[in-house]
Amino acid sequence: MVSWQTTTASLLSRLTVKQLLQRDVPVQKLRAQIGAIERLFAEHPPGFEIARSQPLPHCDAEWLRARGSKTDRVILHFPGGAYVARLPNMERSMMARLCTAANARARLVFYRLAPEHPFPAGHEDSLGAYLQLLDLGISPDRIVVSGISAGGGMALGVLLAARDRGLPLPAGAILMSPLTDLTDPHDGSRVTNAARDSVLSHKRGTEMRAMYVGGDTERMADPYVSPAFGDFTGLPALFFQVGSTEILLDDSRRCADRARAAGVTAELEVWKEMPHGWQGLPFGPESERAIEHCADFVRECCP
Amino acid sequence: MTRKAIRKSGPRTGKVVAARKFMQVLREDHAGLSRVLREIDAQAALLQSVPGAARPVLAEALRYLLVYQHSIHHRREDQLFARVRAREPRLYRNMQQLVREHRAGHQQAERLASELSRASLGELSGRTGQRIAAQLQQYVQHTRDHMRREEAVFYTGSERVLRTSDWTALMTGPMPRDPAMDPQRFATRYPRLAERMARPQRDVVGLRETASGTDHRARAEQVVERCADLLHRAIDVAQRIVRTLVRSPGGRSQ
Repeated sequence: MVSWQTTTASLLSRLTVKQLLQRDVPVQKLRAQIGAIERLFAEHPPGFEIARSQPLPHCDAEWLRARGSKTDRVILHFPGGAYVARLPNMERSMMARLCTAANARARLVFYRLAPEHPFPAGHEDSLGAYLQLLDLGISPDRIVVSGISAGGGMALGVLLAARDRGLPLPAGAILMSPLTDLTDPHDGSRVTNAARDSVLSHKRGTEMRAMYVGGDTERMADPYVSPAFGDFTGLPALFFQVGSTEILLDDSRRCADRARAAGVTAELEVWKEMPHGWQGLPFGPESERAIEHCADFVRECCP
Repeated sequence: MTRKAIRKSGPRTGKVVAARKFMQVLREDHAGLSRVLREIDAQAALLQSVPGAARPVLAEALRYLLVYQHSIHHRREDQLFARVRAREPRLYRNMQQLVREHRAGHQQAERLASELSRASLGELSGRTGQRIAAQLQQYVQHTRDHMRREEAVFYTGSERVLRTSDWTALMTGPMPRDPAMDPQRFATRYPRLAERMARPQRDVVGLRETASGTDHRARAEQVVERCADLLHRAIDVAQRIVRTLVRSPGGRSQ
């Protein structure tokens, strides 16, 4: 049974966010309206310190750490927002909960957004952030990469690129409701869950996806853009979490299948009736449970 | 390197190596435990709706906890904490709570295993199942909190205060490893649990899940979706009308 907190959040999202994503709204207005959700979250998670040391050349990045904590586990996190918008406070709040649960610190990378900075700008920022961690002397086996929604696709794209470059790979990756196929197949969960998904709609999807690749639609099948088309050989353990009513359900299923076929350990959790990105809700028992499962995975990858 | 430098760094390096080896064993135990806790959490939520399938998995998970985590891993930690007691009693005072929790956790796991095996399938579908599921989830949450405190505070504290001789003594004797780290061994001992953990997909449900609840929910969602769409269309039309009126000469003059 879905908790009243998550039910309320789904209802509000269905009345507002989903309607917004279905309509012809300019990106700036979309950012402003989605940004209004940020008021629900504190800018600074209580008990945590945010450090903006070790900047990246082209985008903002920050360290998030519980005050007084000593840990060598690092979660390199890529925020969501369909590559065009983002909710930094929500991301911080979610990562603070994950860091507490997993006894880790987080590196949040606010990669450049489309349409101002189309692919590969954001991808390069994200890969650069991983390289920076290695340059700082952080052992890759103490790093777990994570991402939510578009950030999940970004995380997988970074893993594929790191593997292709022969870099040492992180210990694992957490993919929360990842967007892994920008070619938008009009079948499977994209169709069957179109009515049930309380957040996302693919009615305006073509335009949004084209923004990310700068209008070059042929690039949508590039594995760094759509990891669902990638070869997963050699990747570290992957942990997928997705809601059963999401249009992106098959994005996780397909990637988990591909990973397993390539001999990669891939765990897929399908959470019944959960809305897209429920892990980010700062209330609700399902969000807490999901974050605890992610923390279990971090402890497992980085003993 | 001078002889003086070797004398100075030798025991320190030895301590670091010995400490790292022992602590790695403890951390790997936590890794295996974390994997199983995730499965217990998911199965506990299914206990009422599919007791016949969830019970054997949960029974094996509890057996794993009792046979390895509570009997071997916790004993190992208790030995570590006892060494800390001898070196720094002040730090140990805070560790006492963890030692107590080890005992309480063991008793709780035994009680849950016994209740789970005694209950009939009918009882598990009803209130008894609901109570056991809630207790299992409490146990999982408590165990995670416990691990967190151990890792965040006491493991680092132990590494700081213990000496090479302590670490060597702790490493003496057999060091059985967590069967969860060896999938074949694990599957032999806990076949149902291993089979469940190896499945390509884990369905996670909330407590007290019912199929009819899902149907009602889907229907209500459709109604909300339709109403929201109509409402937003009405807003769009109203905004267009207002814009037209404002732009028209008559509207401007008003």
